Amino acid sequence: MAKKLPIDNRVKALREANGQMTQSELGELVGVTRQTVAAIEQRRYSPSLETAFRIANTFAVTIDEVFSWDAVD
Amino acid sequence: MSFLEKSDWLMACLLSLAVAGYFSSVFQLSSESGVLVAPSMPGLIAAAVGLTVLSIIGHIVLVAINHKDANSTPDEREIKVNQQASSVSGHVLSVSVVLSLLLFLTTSNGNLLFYCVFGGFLVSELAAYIMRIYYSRTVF
Repeated sequence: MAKKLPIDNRVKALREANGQMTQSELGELVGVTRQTVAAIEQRRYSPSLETAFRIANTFAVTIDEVFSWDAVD
Repeated sequence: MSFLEKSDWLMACLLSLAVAGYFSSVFQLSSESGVLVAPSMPGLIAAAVGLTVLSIIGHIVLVAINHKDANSTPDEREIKVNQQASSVSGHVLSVSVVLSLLLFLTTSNGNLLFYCVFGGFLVSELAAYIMRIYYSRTVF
């Protein structure tokens, strides 16, 4: 299994719950590329605090409803 | 694949070809003459111009295919990837320069020093492209 970073997230679930928003659309809203959104969802990249807040604000939820600590590795 | 990653693949391929072409010609000339040939300005200029022209043409094609992504500025992840890859590239360049200088101290061959430093510079650039591709695809 590929190594994952310890910050888990619900970005993909929130995207799908918000009208099947694409990674590109979310990326445009928060100011990152589609590849970075994909990396966040796959836990290959932990976003900056600012981007984490932007993602949470986009879905109108709090930051801890999007991100959580999960030290698996 | 992002536009930057495609650009890195293009430049890595072109630079590899340029390095292989330049040093194979140096090796061939040196084999024929029996000694390491002195670096020639026309050969260097030809390699640099060829690399520049091919990279411009390649990027024009990339922009034509990915015109939407081409103007986008690097985001926070890409900036970190660039910084980390540049750090690796810097280390490769530093080590190659030190090794080249040590080699010069033992051989006193100025031509060899030039080729080693120049080769180290090209390899460090190649390392930057390769590491950017690697960091773009791995946990970072």
